[in-house]
Amino acid sequence: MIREAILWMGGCFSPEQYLFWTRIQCIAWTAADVVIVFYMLRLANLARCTLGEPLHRWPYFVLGATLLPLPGVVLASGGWAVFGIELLVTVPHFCLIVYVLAVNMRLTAAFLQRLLGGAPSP
Amino acid sequence: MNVIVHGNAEHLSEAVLYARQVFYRHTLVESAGLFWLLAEFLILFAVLAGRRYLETDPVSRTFRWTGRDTQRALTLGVLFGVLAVFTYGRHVFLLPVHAFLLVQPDAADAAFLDAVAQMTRQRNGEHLVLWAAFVTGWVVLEVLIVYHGWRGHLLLRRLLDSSSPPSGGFTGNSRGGAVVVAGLLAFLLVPVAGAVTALQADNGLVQTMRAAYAAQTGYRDALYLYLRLAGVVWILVEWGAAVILWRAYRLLTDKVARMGERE
Repeated sequence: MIREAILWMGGCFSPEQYLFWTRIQCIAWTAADVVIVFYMLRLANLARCTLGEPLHRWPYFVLGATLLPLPGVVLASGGWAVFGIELLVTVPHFCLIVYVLAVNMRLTAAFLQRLLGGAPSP
Repeated sequence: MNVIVHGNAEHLSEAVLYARQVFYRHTLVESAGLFWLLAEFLILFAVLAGRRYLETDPVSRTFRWTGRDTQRALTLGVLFGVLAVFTYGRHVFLLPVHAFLLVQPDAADAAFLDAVAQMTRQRNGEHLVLWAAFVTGWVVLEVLIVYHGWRGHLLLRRLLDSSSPPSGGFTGNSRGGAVVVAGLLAFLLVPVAGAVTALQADNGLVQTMRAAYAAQTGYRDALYLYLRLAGVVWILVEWGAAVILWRAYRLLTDKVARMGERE
C-alpha cells in the first residue's frame, strides 16, 4: 500500500514541474541565505567597531561574488545544472557563516559586556 | 534489448565506466548532503552555546566552554560521524554496480543482465532514500536553529532592556575560523570530475542499467515532490532566521546608538 501511495505521489509530479519549482525555491532560499549572511556580517562588524577591532571586509566581496551564478538557476537546463549552481552559492555561504561565528564568538562576549555595562568606546 | 556477445570485454569495460560515473555522481550528491548537514550541526551548536551563554546569571565576562558544550559537541559529532560512516561505508556491504561488474567473468546471459538490472535498481533506490533522509535532516536542524535562535533573541532583548552594572574588560579573537572552513571544504574533495562528464556508450549492458534507472521513475518523481514540499518548509524557516537576525541587528544598533548618546 505504501508502495502504491509513493508511486501515486510520483505520478502527480512530473520532472518538468520539479525543475520549474526547483528554480523558484532555489532563488527564494538563496535570497534568505544572502540576508542571513549579510546581517551576520553587519552584527559582527557592529561588535568589532564598538570594541575598536578591525572590520570584516573581504567576506562582503565573497558574498557578492556568490550572487553572480544565481541568474544561471533561471537558465539551467536540468537538475544537475541547478545542483552545481547551488554548490557554488551555498558552500561559500555556509563557510562564511561558520567563519564569522568561529572568529567572533569570544569577541561577542566582550561586546555584550560593553552594552550591558555601558562603558565608553575606545 | 541487446544481449552482450559472450566475451565482449569492450562492452563490459564501457559498462563499468558508465556505472562508475553514476556512482561518482551519487557520491558527489551525498557528499554535498553531508557537507550541508555538518554546517547545520556546527551552526546549531553555536546557537545553543550562545543561548546557554545568555542564560547564565550574571552574564559572564568571557565566553567559557562548559561541560554542557562538550556534551553537545560530542553528541552532534557522534551523530554526524555515524551518518558519514553509513553514507560512505555502506558500499563495503552493498557492492556498487561497477564493482560487481569488475568481478564478473565475460559471460553475459539473461540471468546476468537481470542481476545487473536488479542491483542498479537497488543502489539507486538506496541513494534516493538517503537523499530524502538528508533533506529531512536539514529541515529539522534548521527548525531547531531558528527556534533556539529566537529564544536567544528574546533573552538578549531582556538583557539589554535591563542592563547589568559594568563587569570588566574583554578578550581577543579566535583564529579557528579558517581551520573550520578548510575542514568543511575537505568534504568536497570526493571525485567531482568523474561526476560531471557524460558517457555516451550505449551497448546492451549500459542499456540494461539505463532501463533499470528508468523503471524507478515513479519513485524518483515521488522523491522530487517530497523535496519540493520540504523546500516550502525550508524557505519559511530560512526567512524566519533572516527576520530574527535583522531584528537582533536593529536591537543591538539601537543600544549602541543610545550608549553613544549617553557619552
